[in-house]
Amino acid sequence: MLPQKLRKAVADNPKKVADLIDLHNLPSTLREFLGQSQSSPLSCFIRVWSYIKTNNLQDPNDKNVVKCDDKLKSILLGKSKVELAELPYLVKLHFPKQSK
Amino acid sequence: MGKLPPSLRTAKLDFPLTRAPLVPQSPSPSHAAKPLKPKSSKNRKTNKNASHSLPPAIFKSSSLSDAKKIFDAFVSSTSASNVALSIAAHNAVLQSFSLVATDPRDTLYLLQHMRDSSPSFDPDHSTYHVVLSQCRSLSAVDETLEFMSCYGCPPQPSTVDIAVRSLCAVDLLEEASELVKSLALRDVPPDRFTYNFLVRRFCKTRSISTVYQLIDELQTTAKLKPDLVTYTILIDAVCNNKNLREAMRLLEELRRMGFKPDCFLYNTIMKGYCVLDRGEETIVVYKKMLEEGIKPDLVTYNTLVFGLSKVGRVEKAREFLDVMVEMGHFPDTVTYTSLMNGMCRKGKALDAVNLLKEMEEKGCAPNECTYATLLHGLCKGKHLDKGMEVYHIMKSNNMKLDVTSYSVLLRVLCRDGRIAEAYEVFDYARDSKSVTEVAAYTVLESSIKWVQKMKNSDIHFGSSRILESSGMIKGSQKWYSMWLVRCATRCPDAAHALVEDVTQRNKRECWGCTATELKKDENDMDVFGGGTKGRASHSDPQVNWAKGNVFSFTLATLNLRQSESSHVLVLALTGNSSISLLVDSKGTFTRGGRELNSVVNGSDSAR
Repeated sequence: MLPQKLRKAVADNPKKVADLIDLHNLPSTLREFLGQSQSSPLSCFIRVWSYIKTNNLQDPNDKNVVKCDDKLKSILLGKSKVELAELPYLVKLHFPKQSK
Repeated sequence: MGKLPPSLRTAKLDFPLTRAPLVPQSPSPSHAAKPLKPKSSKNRKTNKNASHSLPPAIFKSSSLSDAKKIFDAFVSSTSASNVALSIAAHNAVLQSFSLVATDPRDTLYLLQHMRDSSPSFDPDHSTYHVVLSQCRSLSAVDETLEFMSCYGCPPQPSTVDIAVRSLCAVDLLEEASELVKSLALRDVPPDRFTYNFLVRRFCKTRSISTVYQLIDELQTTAKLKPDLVTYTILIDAVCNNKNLREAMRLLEELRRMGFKPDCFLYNTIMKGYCVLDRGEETIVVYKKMLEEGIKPDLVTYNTLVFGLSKVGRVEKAREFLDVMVEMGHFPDTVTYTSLMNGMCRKGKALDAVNLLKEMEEKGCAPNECTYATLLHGLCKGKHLDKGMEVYHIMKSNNMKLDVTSYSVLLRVLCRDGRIAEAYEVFDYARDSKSVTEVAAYTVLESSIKWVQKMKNSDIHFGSSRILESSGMIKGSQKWYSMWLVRCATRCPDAAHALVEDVTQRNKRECWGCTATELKKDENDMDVFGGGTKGRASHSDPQVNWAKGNVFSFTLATLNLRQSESSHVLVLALTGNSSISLLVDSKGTFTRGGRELNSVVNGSDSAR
């Protein structure tokens, strides 16, 4: 009964879910990119990914690599080439864990 | 009032099984017993409603005074054209208000207002039932009932039914049972349908002892005895809780009470065996059915095929396809999907693809579940390209992915370095709303992270070279278990080497570590199982010893009965029943244990 288990794993971990969907105040670079002052890590990631898609920034030879334009560079540590596999990590950097 | 013919009962039953193969919860009798009375009467009302040219959404606000005004305007407009309003029209007005009203009391007040303003209107039961069906608390129900009896409309069994259903709809089960009892004292006993409905709702959410208590109480207060349907519901409930002994006791009791099990009950029992992973027993039940002269129906065969496939007896399950046809039942999508599921479990995903072709030739259309099963099987069985084909078929048909096949697909894509495609699948899963955004993202992130971790630790596919050099670092338990976990998923050969290495060094303790590590990432369990599978026939007692130990440690660390993956692991470790290991409670093993199930049951009860 794996599917139930998986679903449970997500549901059982409200903190993880909350970490993903809680709104954060964004740093100025991200604020410029997204055009809003608050966002959740999840929606931010999805926005970045859809930005890549709409602007066709994936390398046509190797789809796993993204050639950043200036706007994207500003939020992804100034790298000119980013692997898709790094993307979640890079986006996450903008959302430091809040200490309570 | 709504009794279903037996044929319909089973036809309805069919539905839950269509989703069964991945979530092994096959037909539940709960869906079968009875149509929703209030609904049908509602339909009738809305029809008449239309004939009176009254739009259903006439009331926009929940304010009572607004409603009264609208009603008055309506009455004056119709009285001008000399049409007497029927009860149905009044009911329709009342119903459309009750849908927007925040408090059922307001509906009652409107009803009173209607009575007062149009003398020709004499509310009957149906009118009150409209109010009742929107009651969401016991006090509201009580008030309505009082109102009814004041105006010369004493509650009927159907009234009880509607009240109970509207209470149960908001999960007020205790209140509902209180209501039934108090009404039973007022000489309005619930009918069989209400009774069974209540029992079923109790079974779903409360413990079985509470259900027995309810049955006892109803027997003393309302003189209601459980009937065959009640027993079926009970047996289904205990089977879902994996309490086979209780199910058997119920079966005895049922015979003692003079009931004869019908096809439907047998189906439930079969399903119970499936839940308990004892699919072989379904054949025994099936034979018993034939002995007693009960005609099996399509659900029986579907359960049979499902149960057999689940425990890996695919060939036997296949034979039943022909038997089915002989008996006049044609295999449907459910049958084929169960069979495919069985094949995929055995690692014969390509056979399953062939079966898909056969199925389509016979004019049986595959559904979402069929494709999801195939996708899952193909990805696990290292046929990623075929899996992607299936995925594209699903995508072009706008079918939803389920969580399991989605996560397996993502994992395998990431492992093969096809990250871009993984992102594409991620998008599709979100767009088609098959999984929640959070779940979709979590899976994507963890798959990617996992792959990155692999890269960082410099593992290359199939390179056992590092492992050979690993002899230089005579590792600790932790070291071994870490490598085992990593190798198991990436390169089975290396895992084999490690297994041997560990056995040679007699590092027994590290199996426990491995099992714990594997537990953290349950998805990899069966891959690990697959890795050691090739060795299952190895006659070296040392290797077998190692397996036995992994097995027992796995048993100790996981609750095996609930874990699908460890089941697969154990299956893989014990090989295809040629050599089976029987682990007794002390954790040692003896060879030649017959069935996996006895192992599972034995160790489980020993604990």
